[in-house]
Amino acid sequence: MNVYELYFGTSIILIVLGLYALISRRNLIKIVLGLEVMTLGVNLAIITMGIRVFKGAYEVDALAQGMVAISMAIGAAVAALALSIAMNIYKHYGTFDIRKLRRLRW
Amino acid sequence: MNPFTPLFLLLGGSLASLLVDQLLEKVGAVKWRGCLAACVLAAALLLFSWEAYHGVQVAEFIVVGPKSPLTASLRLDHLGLYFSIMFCGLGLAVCVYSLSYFKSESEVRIIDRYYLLLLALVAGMVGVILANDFFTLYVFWELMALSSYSLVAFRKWSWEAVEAGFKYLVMSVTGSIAILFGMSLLYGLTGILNLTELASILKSAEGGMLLHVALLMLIVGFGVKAAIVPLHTWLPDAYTAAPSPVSAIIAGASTGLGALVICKLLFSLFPHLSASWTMFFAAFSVLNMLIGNITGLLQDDVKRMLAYSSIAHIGYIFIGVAAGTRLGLTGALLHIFNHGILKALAFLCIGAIIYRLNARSLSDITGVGRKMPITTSAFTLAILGLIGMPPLNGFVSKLILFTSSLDAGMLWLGILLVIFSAISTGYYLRILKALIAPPDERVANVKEAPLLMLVPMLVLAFLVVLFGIWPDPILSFIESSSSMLCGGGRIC
Repeated sequence: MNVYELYFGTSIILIVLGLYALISRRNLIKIVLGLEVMTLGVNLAIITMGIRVFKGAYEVDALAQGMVAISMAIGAAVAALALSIAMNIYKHYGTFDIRKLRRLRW
Repeated sequence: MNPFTPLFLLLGGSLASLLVDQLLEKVGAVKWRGCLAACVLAAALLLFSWEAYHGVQVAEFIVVGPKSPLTASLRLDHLGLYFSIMFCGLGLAVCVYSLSYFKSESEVRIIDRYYLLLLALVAGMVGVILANDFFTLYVFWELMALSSYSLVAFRKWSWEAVEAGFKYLVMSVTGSIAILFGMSLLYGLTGILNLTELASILKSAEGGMLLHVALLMLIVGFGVKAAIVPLHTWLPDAYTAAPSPVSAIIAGASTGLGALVICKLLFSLFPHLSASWTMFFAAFSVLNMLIGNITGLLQDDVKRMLAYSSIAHIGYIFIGVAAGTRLGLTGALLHIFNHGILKALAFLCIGAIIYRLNARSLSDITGVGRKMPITTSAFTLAILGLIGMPPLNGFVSKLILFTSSLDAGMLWLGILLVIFSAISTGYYLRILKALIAPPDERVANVKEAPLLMLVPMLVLAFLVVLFGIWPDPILSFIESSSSMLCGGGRIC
C-alpha cells in the first residue's frame, strides 16, 4: 500500500464516519463534531492530492498547504457559528436532544 | 480604475459599517445606522453599471503573489459583471427596505451586525461570480454561506429562527464539504485550480470515472444551495424563519447563485461530460417542479408557499440546463435573473404585510389588500410574473425555456413546464384572493407600508414590467455571456 492509498483511504474513512455521526447522533454537539470530522477528512484529501515526489522524497505542494490552512480557518468559523446557534437552541429548550425540537427533521 | 474596486468596496464596507454603526449608537444617532451600508451598495451598483455602460472589458486580477496559473485570481467578464449588478441591486433594495423594517426593541439592539452580514453576503455572492479559480470561489462561497446562516438565525430569541438556522447550517456545510472534496479530486487529477486553465486541460481529457465523481460532488455541493429536490428541506424552514428582507435576498440571489455556478461548471468546465448528465438534470427538474408545486398547494403560510414556489422555479431553470444548448443556457440564465427580481419583490411585499399585521397565514391576512393598495399591486405584479403572464418578465424566460426544450427534442419537458405553471396558479391566486377579499374588523386599522419600504418595492415592480415589455438589453447581455460560456462547447 503506497502513501497515496493510505492517506486517501483514511480521508474517506473520516468523511464516512463524520457523515454517520451526522445522520445517527441525536445530540446537537455531536452533530457539530461530525461536521468537523468530515472537514478534517476533506483537508486530508487535499493534502493527499498535493503530495509530489521530489528528488526521491515526498513533499506536499505549497498550493495544497495554503488551501488546507484557509480551509481549517473556515472550518473553525463554521464550528463557532454552529456551536453558538446550538447554544441558543439550548436556551430555548434546555436540551441538546434534536428529538425534542419541533422542526429539525429531515 | 481597477475594475474590481466595487468588490473591495463591499468587503471593506462590511467591516466599516460595523464600526460606524456602533459609533452612531454611541453619539445617539441611532436611526442613521445602516445608511453607510446603503451608500456602499449604491456605490458598488453604480461602479458596476458604469463598467457595463462603457462596454465590458475582460479583466483579470491576481489577488496575491506572482502571475501564474496557481495563484488566486479574479476575472471580470459579461456573466460576472451582469450578475454582480443584479446582486448589488437586490442588496441595495433590501438594505433600503431594512432601514425601516426592524422596529422591535430586541431587534434594534443587534441591528448593527445586520448590515455587516448583509454586506458580507452581497460581497460573497459577487466574489463567487468573479472568482477565476476554484479555491477563491470556495472562500467567497463560504463567506456568503456563513453570513446567510447568521442572517437566517438573526432573530435568535425565537425558536423557529434558531432551529431553521441550525438545519440550514448542517445541510449547507455538508454541501460545502462535498464541494471541497470534488475540488480536491479535480486538483489531484489536473494539479491546477484556475478555471480558464482547467477548461482547456479538461477539454482534451478523457471522461474518466474520477472526473464524473468530482462533477457529481460539485453538483451535490452547489445543489444544496440551489435546492435540488432531495436536498431542499432546509429551504422552506429557512425562508419562513428569516426576517422578510433576508428571505428576499436569499431567495432572490443566493438560490439562483447555486444554479448559476452549476451552469458555469457544466457548460464551461465539463462540456464533454454534460451530454451524459442530460437525463439526470431532466429528472431532477421534473422532481423539483413536482415537489415544489404540489407541496405549495398544501401550505397555509404565505412565506412557505413562496418558498415552495422557489423550489419549483429551480426546476424550470434546470430545464434549460438539461436541454444543454446555447438557447437553453440563455433561458436558464435569464430565468435566474427574472426569478431573482420577482421572488425578491414578492418577499418584500409579504414582509410589508407582516410588518403591519404581524401575521402570515392565509386566513389572517384576509382583506388586508384593500388597506394596502400599493403593496398589493406590486405583489400582484410579482405573482403574475411568477406564473408567467405575457407582459411581465417571467413570461419571456419561460418562453425561451419552452423553446429550448423543443429545440433539444425534449418536448415533454416543455409540456410539463406549462402544466406545472398552470398548477402553480392554484396557490399563487389563493394568496391574491385572500388579499383582495372584503376586509373584516381585524385589519381595519392597517395602514399602507412606510415610504422607505415602498420605494424598493416600486422600483422592483417597475423592473418586472420593463423587462417584460422590453427584454432586449438584458437578452443581448445574456446571449453574449452564454455564448462565452459555450465557447468551446458542444452543440451550442
